[in-house]
Amino acid sequence: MRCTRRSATVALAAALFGLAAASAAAAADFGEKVQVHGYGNWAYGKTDGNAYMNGTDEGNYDKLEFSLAVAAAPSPNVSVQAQIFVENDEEGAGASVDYAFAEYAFSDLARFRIGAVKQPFGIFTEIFDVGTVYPFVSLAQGIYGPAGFVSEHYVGAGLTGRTVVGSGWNLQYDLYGGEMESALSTPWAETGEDEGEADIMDMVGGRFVLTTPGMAANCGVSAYTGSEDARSEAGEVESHRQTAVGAHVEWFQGPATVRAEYAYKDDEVTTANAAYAEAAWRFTPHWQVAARYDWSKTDLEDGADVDGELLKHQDIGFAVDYFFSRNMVLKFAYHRVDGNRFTAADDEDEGQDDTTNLYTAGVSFSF
Amino acid sequence: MRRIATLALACAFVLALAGAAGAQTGGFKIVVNKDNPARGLAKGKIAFMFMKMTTRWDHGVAVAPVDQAPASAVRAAFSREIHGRDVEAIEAAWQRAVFAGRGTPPPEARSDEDVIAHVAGDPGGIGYVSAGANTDRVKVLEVLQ
Repeated sequence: MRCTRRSATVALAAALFGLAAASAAAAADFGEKVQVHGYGNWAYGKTDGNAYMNGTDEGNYDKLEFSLAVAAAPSPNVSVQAQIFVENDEEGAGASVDYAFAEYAFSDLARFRIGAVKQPFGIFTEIFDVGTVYPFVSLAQGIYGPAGFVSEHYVGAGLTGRTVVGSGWNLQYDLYGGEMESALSTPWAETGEDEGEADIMDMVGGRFVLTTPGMAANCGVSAYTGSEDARSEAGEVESHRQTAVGAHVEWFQGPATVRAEYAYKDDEVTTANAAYAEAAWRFTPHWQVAARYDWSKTDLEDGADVDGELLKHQDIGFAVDYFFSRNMVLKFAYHRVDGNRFTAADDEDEGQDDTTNLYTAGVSFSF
Repeated sequence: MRRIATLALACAFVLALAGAAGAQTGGFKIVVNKDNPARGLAKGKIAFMFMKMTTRWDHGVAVAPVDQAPASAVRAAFSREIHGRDVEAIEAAWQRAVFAGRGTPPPEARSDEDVIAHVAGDPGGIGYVSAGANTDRVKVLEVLQ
Protein backbone atom coordinates (compact mmCIF):
# COMPACT_ATOMS: atom_id res chain seq x y z
CA MET A 1 0.00 0.00 0.00
CA ARG A 2 2.75 2.38 1.01
CA CYS A 3 4.71 1.43 -2.07
CA THR A 4 1.68 2.11 -4.25
CA ARG A 5 1.10 5.53 -2.75
CA ARG A 6 4.77 6.38 -3.06
CA SER A 7 4.71 5.42 -6.73
CA ALA A 8 1.62 7.53 -7.26
CA THR A 9 3.25 10.45 -5.48
CA VAL A 10 6.39 10.23 -7.58
CA ALA A 11 4.31 9.94 -10.76
CA LEU A 12 2.21 12.94 -9.81
CA ALA A 13 5.31 14.90 -8.86
CA ALA A 14 6.87 14.05 -12.21
CA ALA A 15 3.71 15.15 -14.00
CA LEU A 16 3.66 18.45 -12.11
CA PHE A 17 7.37 18.93 -12.76
CA GLY A 18 6.74 18.35 -16.46
CA LEU A 19 3.78 20.69 -16.44
CA ALA A 20 5.88 23.40 -14.87
CA ALA A 21 8.74 22.93 -17.30
CA ALA A 22 6.55 22.72 -20.37
CA SER A 23 4.19 25.56 -19.61
CA ALA A 24 6.95 28.17 -19.19
CA ALA A 25 4.75 29.19 -16.31
CA ALA A 26 2.46 31.72 -17.95
CA ALA A 27 -0.62 32.78 -16.04
CA ALA A 28 -3.96 32.59 -17.81
CA ASP A 29 -5.41 36.05 -18.38
CA PHE A 30 -9.00 36.25 -19.59
CA GLY A 31 -8.95 39.87 -20.61
CA GLU A 32 -8.28 41.88 -17.46
CA LYS A 33 -11.40 40.69 -15.66
CA VAL A 34 -10.23 37.25 -14.56
CA GLN A 35 -6.73 35.96 -13.87
CA VAL A 36 -5.72 32.43 -12.94
CA HIS A 37 -2.45 31.68 -11.20
CA GLY A 38 -1.10 28.57 -9.50
CA TYR A 39 1.84 27.07 -7.72
CA GLY A 40 3.12 23.69 -6.69
CA ASN A 41 5.81 22.06 -4.58
CA TRP A 42 7.23 18.59 -4.33
CA ALA A 43 10.02 17.61 -1.95
CA TYR A 44 11.87 14.58 -0.64
CA GLY A 45 13.15 14.59 2.92
CA LYS A 46 15.39 12.22 4.88
CA THR A 47 16.57 12.49 8.46
CA ASP A 48 18.95 10.52 10.65
CA GLY A 49 16.22 9.50 13.11
CA ASN A 50 13.39 11.82 14.11
CA ALA A 51 10.64 12.95 11.76
CA TYR A 52 10.98 16.69 11.03
CA MET A 53 9.18 18.86 8.49
CA ASN A 54 8.94 16.69 5.36
CA GLY A 55 11.72 14.30 6.44
CA THR A 56 11.59 10.85 7.99
CA ASP A 57 14.23 8.31 8.91
CA GLU A 58 13.48 6.07 5.94
CA GLY A 59 12.99 8.98 3.52
CA ASN A 60 9.73 10.64 2.58
CA TYR A 61 8.58 11.38 -0.98
CA ASP A 62 5.06 12.40 -0.03
CA LYS A 63 5.24 16.19 0.33
CA LEU A 64 3.28 17.29 -2.69
CA GLU A 65 1.22 20.46 -2.97
CA PHE A 66 -0.63 22.24 -5.72
CA SER A 67 -2.75 25.36 -5.57
CA LEU A 68 -4.86 27.31 -8.01
CA ALA A 69 -5.76 30.98 -7.42
CA VAL A 70 -8.47 32.84 -9.28
CA ALA A 71 -8.97 36.61 -9.12
CA ALA A 72 -11.90 38.36 -10.79
CA ALA A 73 -12.85 42.02 -10.98
CA PRO A 74 -16.54 42.08 -11.95
CA SER A 75 -16.69 45.86 -11.50
CA PRO A 76 -14.09 48.60 -10.91
CA ASN A 77 -14.46 48.64 -7.12
CA VAL A 78 -15.24 44.98 -6.52
CA SER A 79 -12.87 42.04 -6.67
CA VAL A 80 -13.36 38.41 -5.75
CA GLN A 81 -10.46 36.08 -5.02
CA ALA A 82 -10.22 32.39 -4.15
CA GLN A 83 -7.50 29.80 -3.88
CA ILE A 84 -7.87 26.02 -3.70
CA PHE A 85 -5.04 24.02 -2.15
CA VAL A 86 -4.46 20.31 -2.74
CA GLU A 87 -1.79 18.41 -0.86
CA ASN A 88 -0.50 14.92 -0.38
CA ASP A 89 1.64 14.03 2.61
CA GLU A 90 2.39 11.04 4.79
CA GLU A 91 -1.15 11.33 6.21
CA GLY A 92 -2.75 11.05 2.77
CA ALA A 93 -4.30 13.48 0.27
CA GLY A 94 -6.64 16.37 0.97
CA ALA A 95 -7.99 19.62 -0.41
CA SER A 96 -8.81 22.87 1.33
CA VAL A 97 -9.70 26.47 0.63
CA ASP A 98 -6.76 28.76 1.33
CA TYR A 99 -8.92 31.84 0.96
CA ALA A 100 -12.15 32.96 -0.67
CA PHE A 101 -13.22 36.52 -0.15
CA ALA A 102 -14.78 39.57 -1.73
CA GLU A 103 -13.28 43.02 -1.54
CA TYR A 104 -14.87 46.42 -2.03
CA ALA A 105 -12.48 49.31 -2.54
CA PHE A 106 -13.74 52.63 -1.20
CA SER A 107 -10.35 54.10 -2.04
CA ASP A 108 -6.65 53.14 -1.87
CA LEU A 109 -6.86 53.92 1.83
CA ALA A 110 -9.84 51.71 2.62
CA ARG A 111 -10.70 48.33 1.17
CA PHE A 112 -13.30 46.21 2.92
CA ARG A 113 -12.75 42.43 2.83
CA ILE A 114 -15.15 39.72 3.89
CA GLY A 115 -14.99 35.93 3.75
CA ALA A 116 -12.07 33.60 4.38
CA VAL A 117 -9.15 36.01 4.09
CA LYS A 118 -5.43 35.26 4.32
CA GLN A 119 -4.28 36.23 7.80
CA PRO A 120 -1.97 39.25 7.67
CA PHE A 121 0.72 38.43 10.25
CA GLY A 122 4.44 38.76 9.64
CA ILE A 123 6.00 38.21 6.22
CA PHE A 124 4.76 34.86 4.96
CA THR A 125 1.27 34.06 6.26
CA GLU A 126 -0.30 35.26 3.03
CA ILE A 127 2.08 33.26 0.82
CA PHE A 128 2.59 30.26 3.04
CA ASP A 129 3.30 27.58 0.45
CA VAL A 130 4.50 29.59 -2.55
CA GLY A 131 7.92 27.97 -2.76
CA THR A 132 9.25 30.23 -5.52
CA VAL A 133 9.35 33.26 -3.18
CA TYR A 134 11.50 31.82 -0.40
CA PRO A 135 14.81 29.95 -0.50
CA PHE A 136 14.17 26.90 1.68
CA VAL A 137 11.82 23.98 1.08
CA SER A 138 9.84 25.00 4.18
CA LEU A 139 9.41 28.19 6.16
CA ALA A 140 11.01 28.67 9.59
CA GLN A 141 9.17 26.35 11.98
CA GLY A 142 9.43 28.55 15.07
CA ILE A 143 6.82 30.96 13.69
CA TYR A 144 5.32 29.21 10.63
CA GLY A 145 5.42 25.61 11.86
CA PRO A 146 2.79 24.02 14.13
CA ALA A 147 3.49 26.55 16.86
CA GLY A 148 0.02 28.08 17.06
CA PHE A 149 1.20 31.53 15.95
CA VAL A 150 -0.43 31.91 12.56
CA SER A 151 -3.20 30.61 10.37
CA GLU A 152 -3.75 30.10 6.66
CA HIS A 153 -6.73 32.44 6.89
CA TYR A 154 -9.23 34.01 9.20
CA VAL A 155 -12.96 33.84 8.62
CA GLY A 156 -14.52 37.23 9.16
CA ALA A 157 -14.13 40.77 7.93
CA GLY A 158 -11.28 43.20 7.64
CA LEU A 159 -10.16 46.55 6.40
CA THR A 160 -6.95 47.08 4.47
CA GLY A 161 -5.40 50.00 2.68
CA ARG A 162 -2.26 51.89 1.93
CA THR A 163 -1.10 55.45 1.80
CA VAL A 164 1.99 57.28 0.62
CA VAL A 165 4.15 58.62 3.40
CA GLY A 166 6.74 61.27 2.61
CA SER A 167 8.49 60.99 -0.73
CA GLY A 168 7.58 57.57 -1.98
CA TRP A 169 7.34 55.58 1.22
CA ASN A 170 4.30 53.36 1.53
CA LEU A 171 2.36 52.44 4.65
CA GLN A 172 0.03 49.45 4.41
CA TYR A 173 -2.33 48.48 7.18
CA ASP A 174 -4.69 45.60 7.95
CA LEU A 175 -7.33 45.46 10.65
CA TYR A 176 -9.43 42.35 10.96
CA GLY A 177 -11.70 40.31 13.16
CA GLY A 178 -13.31 36.88 13.19
CA GLU A 179 -12.21 33.32 13.80
CA MET A 180 -9.14 31.35 12.80
CA GLU A 181 -7.60 27.92 13.17
CA SER A 182 -3.93 27.60 13.87
CA ALA A 183 -1.86 24.42 13.55
CA LEU A 184 -0.49 23.54 16.97
CA SER A 185 1.58 20.63 18.20
CA THR A 186 1.92 20.08 21.95
CA PRO A 187 4.47 17.27 22.29
CA TRP A 188 4.58 17.77 26.08
CA ALA A 189 0.86 16.95 26.48
CA GLU A 190 -0.02 13.73 28.27
CA THR A 191 -3.16 13.08 26.24
CA GLY A 192 -1.28 11.52 23.37
CA GLU A 193 -2.76 14.17 21.08
CA ASP A 194 0.39 16.03 20.15
CA GLU A 195 -0.83 17.27 16.77
CA GLY A 196 -3.90 19.45 16.54
CA GLU A 197 -5.35 22.86 15.92
CA ALA A 198 -6.14 25.77 18.14
CA ASP A 199 -9.42 27.54 17.40
CA ILE A 200 -9.13 31.24 18.10
CA MET A 201 -12.59 32.79 18.39
CA ASP A 202 -13.71 36.43 18.60
CA MET A 203 -10.31 37.48 17.38
CA VAL A 204 -9.20 40.97 16.46
CA GLY A 205 -5.86 41.75 14.91
CA GLY A 206 -3.86 44.10 12.80
CA ARG A 207 -0.65 44.58 10.85
CA PHE A 208 1.22 47.70 9.75
CA VAL A 209 3.98 47.52 7.12
CA LEU A 210 6.20 50.42 6.04
CA THR A 211 7.89 50.01 2.65
CA THR A 212 10.72 52.14 1.25
CA PRO A 213 10.68 53.73 -2.20
CA GLY A 214 11.30 51.08 -4.84
CA MET A 215 10.25 48.41 -2.34
CA ALA A 216 13.89 47.87 -1.42
CA ALA A 217 12.98 47.19 2.19
CA ASN A 218 10.04 46.90 4.49
CA CYS A 219 9.36 46.40 8.13
CA GLY A 220 6.20 45.74 10.01
CA VAL A 221 4.47 44.87 13.24
CA SER A 222 1.58 42.43 13.69
CA ALA A 223 -0.66 41.45 16.57
CA TYR A 224 -3.90 39.65 17.36
CA THR A 225 -5.83 38.53 20.38
CA GLY A 226 -8.72 36.14 20.75
CA SER A 227 -10.28 33.42 22.82
CA GLU A 228 -8.91 29.91 22.42
CA ASP A 229 -11.21 27.04 23.33
CA ALA A 230 -9.30 24.01 24.60
CA ARG A 231 -10.68 20.71 25.86
CA SER A 232 -9.14 19.52 29.13
CA GLU A 233 -8.27 15.90 29.88
CA ALA A 234 -11.48 15.70 31.90
CA GLY A 235 -13.43 16.70 28.79
CA GLU A 236 -14.27 20.21 29.95
CA VAL A 237 -13.92 23.05 27.52
CA GLU A 238 -11.75 25.79 28.89
CA SER A 239 -11.38 29.17 27.33
CA HIS A 240 -8.03 30.92 27.28
CA ARG A 241 -7.08 34.28 25.87
CA GLN A 242 -4.38 33.98 23.23
CA THR A 243 -2.40 37.04 22.30
CA ALA A 244 0.41 37.16 19.78
CA VAL A 245 2.65 39.98 18.61
CA GLY A 246 5.34 40.01 15.97
CA ALA A 247 7.79 42.23 14.16
CA HIS A 248 9.60 41.75 10.88
CA VAL A 249 12.10 43.38 8.56
CA GLU A 250 13.10 42.55 4.97
CA TRP A 251 15.81 44.03 2.81
CA PHE A 252 16.35 43.49 -0.91
CA GLN A 253 19.52 44.78 -2.50
CA GLY A 254 20.49 43.49 -5.93
CA PRO A 255 21.08 39.74 -5.63
CA ALA A 256 20.87 39.76 -1.82
CA THR A 257 17.85 39.31 0.40
CA VAL A 258 17.92 39.52 4.18
CA ARG A 259 14.92 39.05 6.44
CA ALA A 260 14.25 38.54 10.13
CA GLU A 261 11.17 38.01 12.23
CA TYR A 262 10.34 37.78 15.89
CA ALA A 263 7.06 36.67 17.47
CA TYR A 264 5.74 36.23 20.98
CA LYS A 265 2.59 34.40 22.09
CA ASP A 266 0.81 33.95 25.41
CA ASP A 267 -2.25 31.72 25.72
CA GLU A 268 -2.44 31.60 29.53
CA VAL A 269 -1.19 27.99 29.43
CA THR A 270 2.06 28.50 27.56
CA THR A 271 4.20 31.38 26.40
CA ALA A 272 6.30 31.08 23.29
CA ASN A 273 9.10 33.17 21.81
CA ALA A 274 10.28 32.55 18.27
CA ALA A 275 12.65 34.28 15.88
CA TYR A 276 14.60 33.62 12.73
CA ALA A 277 17.05 35.40 10.48
CA GLU A 278 17.60 34.40 6.86
CA ALA A 279 19.97 35.61 4.19
CA ALA A 280 20.02 34.63 0.52
CA TRP A 281 22.43 35.58 -2.23
CA ARG A 282 21.67 35.02 -5.93
CA PHE A 283 25.25 34.88 -7.21
CA THR A 284 24.34 34.06 -10.82
CA PRO A 285 21.01 34.38 -12.68
CA HIS A 286 20.39 30.70 -11.85
CA TRP A 287 22.14 29.89 -8.58
CA GLN A 288 21.27 31.07 -5.10
CA VAL A 289 22.65 30.13 -1.69
CA ALA A 290 20.91 30.79 1.61
CA ALA A 291 21.38 30.34 5.31
CA ARG A 292 18.86 30.53 8.13
CA TYR A 293 18.92 30.49 11.90
CA ASP A 294 15.53 29.55 13.38
CA TRP A 295 14.88 29.48 17.12
CA SER A 296 11.94 29.09 19.46
CA LYS A 297 11.32 28.43 23.13
CA THR A 298 8.09 27.48 24.85
CA ASP A 299 7.42 27.87 28.57
CA LEU A 300 4.61 26.15 30.44
CA GLU A 301 2.87 28.53 32.80
CA ASP A 302 2.03 25.81 35.34
CA GLY A 303 5.69 24.82 35.52
CA ALA A 304 4.88 21.19 34.75
CA ASP A 305 7.83 18.84 34.84
CA VAL A 306 8.39 17.83 31.21
CA ASP A 307 11.42 16.99 29.15
CA GLY A 308 13.00 20.34 28.35
CA GLU A 309 13.94 19.18 24.85
CA LEU A 310 10.22 19.13 23.96
CA LEU A 311 10.02 22.88 24.59
CA LYS A 312 12.99 24.15 22.62
CA HIS A 313 13.91 24.37 18.98
CA GLN A 314 16.99 25.53 17.12
CA ASP A 315 17.42 24.92 13.40
CA ILE A 316 20.50 25.98 11.46
CA GLY A 317 19.83 25.52 7.77
CA PHE A 318 21.71 25.94 4.50
CA ALA A 319 20.15 25.87 1.05
CA VAL A 320 21.30 25.83 -2.55
CA ASP A 321 18.70 26.73 -5.19
CA TYR A 322 18.80 26.49 -8.96
CA PHE A 323 16.32 28.79 -10.74
CA PHE A 324 15.29 27.67 -14.20
CA SER A 325 13.34 30.94 -14.16
CA ARG A 326 11.55 33.07 -11.58
CA ASN A 327 8.72 30.55 -11.92
CA MET A 328 10.57 27.30 -11.34
CA VAL A 329 13.28 26.45 -8.84
CA LEU A 330 15.09 23.33 -7.65
CA LYS A 331 15.99 23.40 -3.94
CA PHE A 332 18.49 21.46 -1.88
CA ALA A 333 18.74 22.07 1.86
CA TYR A 334 20.36 20.74 5.00
CA HIS A 335 19.06 21.41 8.51
CA ARG A 336 20.72 20.71 11.84
CA VAL A 337 18.05 20.76 14.54
CA ASP A 338 18.53 20.81 18.30
CA GLY A 339 15.50 20.20 20.50
CA ASN A 340 12.26 18.32 19.89
CA ARG A 341 9.63 21.08 19.84
CA PHE A 342 8.81 20.34 16.19
CA THR A 343 10.28 16.88 15.73
CA ALA A 344 8.59 13.54 16.36
CA ALA A 345 9.70 9.99 16.94
CA ASP A 346 9.74 8.15 13.64
CA ASP A 347 8.83 4.97 15.49
CA GLU A 348 6.29 5.52 18.27
CA ASP A 349 7.86 2.73 20.33
CA GLU A 350 11.19 4.52 20.43
CA GLY A 351 12.20 7.82 21.94
CA GLN A 352 13.63 10.81 20.10
CA ASP A 353 17.18 11.91 19.69
CA ASP A 354 17.89 15.43 20.92
CA THR A 355 19.36 16.39 17.55
CA THR A 356 18.07 15.84 14.04
CA ASN A 357 19.81 16.15 10.68
CA LEU A 358 17.47 16.72 7.75
CA TYR A 359 18.44 16.52 4.06
CA THR A 360 15.77 17.68 1.68
CA ALA A 361 15.45 18.37 -2.03
CA GLY A 362 12.51 19.48 -4.08
CA VAL A 363 11.03 21.64 -6.80
CA SER A 364 8.70 24.61 -6.63
CA PHE A 365 6.92 26.34 -9.47
CA SER A 366 4.37 29.08 -9.92
CA PHE A 367 2.59 30.71 -12.81
CA MET B 1 11.11 43.70 24.92
CA ARG B 2 14.86 43.89 24.23
CA ARG B 3 14.38 41.69 21.15
CA ILE B 4 11.72 44.05 19.77
CA ALA B 5 13.99 47.04 20.41
CA THR B 6 16.85 45.27 18.61
CA LEU B 7 14.60 44.45 15.66
CA ALA B 8 13.34 48.05 15.59
CA LEU B 9 16.93 49.32 15.42
CA ALA B 10 17.74 46.85 12.64
CA CYS B 11 14.60 47.95 10.85
CA ALA B 12 15.56 51.64 11.04
CA PHE B 13 19.06 50.87 9.74
CA VAL B 14 17.79 48.80 6.83
CA LEU B 15 15.14 51.34 5.85
CA ALA B 16 17.64 54.20 5.97
CA LEU B 17 20.06 52.22 3.83
CA ALA B 18 17.39 51.30 1.30
CA GLY B 19 15.83 54.77 1.23
CA ALA B 20 19.15 56.30 0.27
CA ALA B 21 19.14 54.51 -3.09
CA GLY B 22 18.40 56.69 -6.15
CA ALA B 23 18.05 56.31 -9.95
CA GLN B 24 18.48 58.31 -13.15
CA THR B 25 15.94 58.53 -15.97
CA GLY B 26 16.68 57.70 -19.62
CA GLY B 27 16.09 55.29 -22.51
CA PHE B 28 12.29 55.45 -22.39
CA LYS B 29 9.35 57.85 -22.32
CA ILE B 30 6.35 57.77 -19.97
CA VAL B 31 3.14 58.17 -21.95
CA VAL B 32 -0.43 58.90 -20.86
CA ASN B 33 -3.73 59.56 -22.58
CA LYS B 34 -3.97 62.94 -24.33
CA ASP B 35 -6.96 63.91 -22.14
CA ASN B 36 -4.90 63.46 -18.97
CA PRO B 37 -4.19 66.93 -17.46
CA ALA B 38 -0.96 65.78 -15.78
CA ARG B 39 2.27 67.24 -17.14
CA GLY B 40 4.80 65.47 -14.98
CA LEU B 41 5.01 62.77 -12.34
CA ALA B 42 7.52 61.90 -9.66
CA LYS B 43 9.34 58.59 -10.07
CA GLY B 44 7.86 57.28 -6.86
CA LYS B 45 4.34 58.01 -7.98
CA ILE B 46 4.93 56.33 -11.33
CA ALA B 47 6.28 53.28 -9.51
CA PHE B 48 3.22 53.18 -7.26
CA MET B 49 0.92 53.37 -10.29
CA PHE B 50 2.65 50.43 -11.95
CA MET B 51 2.54 48.46 -8.70
CA LYS B 52 -1.16 49.42 -8.39
CA MET B 53 -0.49 51.07 -5.04
CA THR B 54 -1.92 54.32 -6.40
CA THR B 55 -5.08 53.54 -8.32
CA ARG B 56 -6.51 57.01 -9.12
CA TRP B 57 -5.16 60.03 -10.93
CA ASP B 58 -5.44 63.35 -9.14
CA HIS B 59 -8.39 64.20 -11.41
CA GLY B 60 -10.25 61.06 -10.26
CA VAL B 61 -9.86 58.73 -13.24
CA ALA B 62 -8.78 55.14 -12.51
CA VAL B 63 -5.12 54.47 -13.34
CA ALA B 64 -4.70 51.82 -16.05
CA PRO B 65 -1.01 50.89 -16.30
CA VAL B 66 0.38 48.70 -19.06
CA ASP B 67 3.77 46.99 -18.80
CA GLN B 68 6.02 45.63 -21.52
CA ALA B 69 7.37 42.10 -21.95
CA PRO B 70 9.78 41.08 -19.14
CA ALA B 71 12.60 40.34 -21.59
CA SER B 72 12.38 43.68 -23.41
CA ALA B 73 15.15 46.26 -23.10
CA VAL B 74 12.68 49.07 -22.45
CA ARG B 75 11.15 47.14 -19.52
CA ALA B 76 14.61 46.61 -18.05
CA ALA B 77 15.43 50.33 -18.33
CA PHE B 78 12.07 51.37 -16.89
CA SER B 79 12.30 48.93 -14.00
CA ARG B 80 15.83 49.93 -13.09
CA GLU B 81 15.18 53.66 -13.30
CA ILE B 82 11.64 53.98 -11.96
CA HIS B 83 11.43 51.10 -9.49
CA GLY B 84 15.13 51.12 -8.70
CA ARG B 85 15.13 47.31 -9.01
CA ASP B 86 15.52 44.81 -11.82
CA VAL B 87 12.60 43.23 -13.65
CA GLU B 88 12.93 39.94 -11.82
CA ALA B 89 12.67 41.61 -8.42
CA ILE B 90 9.49 43.36 -9.52
CA GLU B 91 8.08 40.10 -10.85
CA ALA B 92 8.89 38.47 -7.53
CA ALA B 93 7.02 41.25 -5.73
CA TRP B 94 4.02 40.63 -7.99
CA GLN B 95 4.21 36.90 -7.28
CA ARG B 96 3.84 37.67 -3.62
CA ALA B 97 0.98 40.08 -4.21
CA VAL B 98 -0.89 37.67 -6.46
CA PHE B 99 -0.75 34.73 -4.08
CA ALA B 100 -1.48 36.93 -1.08
CA GLY B 101 -4.70 37.97 -2.78
CA ARG B 102 -3.50 41.56 -2.99
CA GLY B 103 -3.79 42.26 -6.66
CA THR B 104 -2.64 41.20 -10.09
CA PRO B 105 0.07 42.74 -12.28
CA PRO B 106 -0.70 45.12 -15.15
CA PRO B 107 -1.23 43.59 -18.58
CA GLU B 108 1.90 43.23 -20.69
CA ALA B 109 2.00 44.78 -24.15
CA ARG B 110 4.06 43.15 -26.86
CA SER B 111 5.51 46.33 -28.35
CA ASP B 112 5.66 50.11 -28.13
CA GLU B 113 2.78 50.26 -30.62
CA ASP B 114 0.61 48.11 -28.34
CA VAL B 115 1.38 50.40 -25.41
CA ILE B 116 0.46 53.48 -27.47
CA ALA B 117 -2.80 51.83 -28.53
CA HIS B 118 -3.70 50.93 -24.93
CA VAL B 119 -2.90 54.38 -23.57
CA ALA B 120 -4.62 56.21 -26.43
CA GLY B 121 -7.76 54.15 -25.86
CA ASP B 122 -8.02 54.50 -22.07
CA PRO B 123 -8.41 57.90 -20.32
CA GLY B 124 -6.48 56.54 -17.31
CA GLY B 125 -3.85 54.73 -19.35
CA ILE B 126 -0.15 55.03 -18.53
CA GLY B 127 2.73 53.17 -20.13
CA TYR B 128 6.32 53.54 -21.24
CA VAL B 129 7.86 53.24 -24.68
CA SER B 130 11.33 53.35 -26.19
CA ALA B 131 12.89 56.80 -26.47
CA GLY B 132 12.55 56.70 -30.26
CA ALA B 133 8.92 55.56 -30.44
CA ASN B 134 6.30 57.65 -32.27
CA THR B 135 4.13 59.23 -29.57
CA ASP B 136 1.84 61.42 -31.69
CA ARG B 137 -1.34 59.71 -30.38
CA VAL B 138 -0.47 60.12 -26.69
CA LYS B 139 1.05 62.62 -24.28
CA VAL B 140 4.62 62.29 -23.01
CA LEU B 141 5.00 63.02 -19.29
CA GLU B 142 7.99 64.62 -17.70
CA VAL B 143 9.58 62.41 -15.06
CA LEU B 144 10.23 64.41 -11.90
CA GLN B 145 12.92 63.40 -9.41
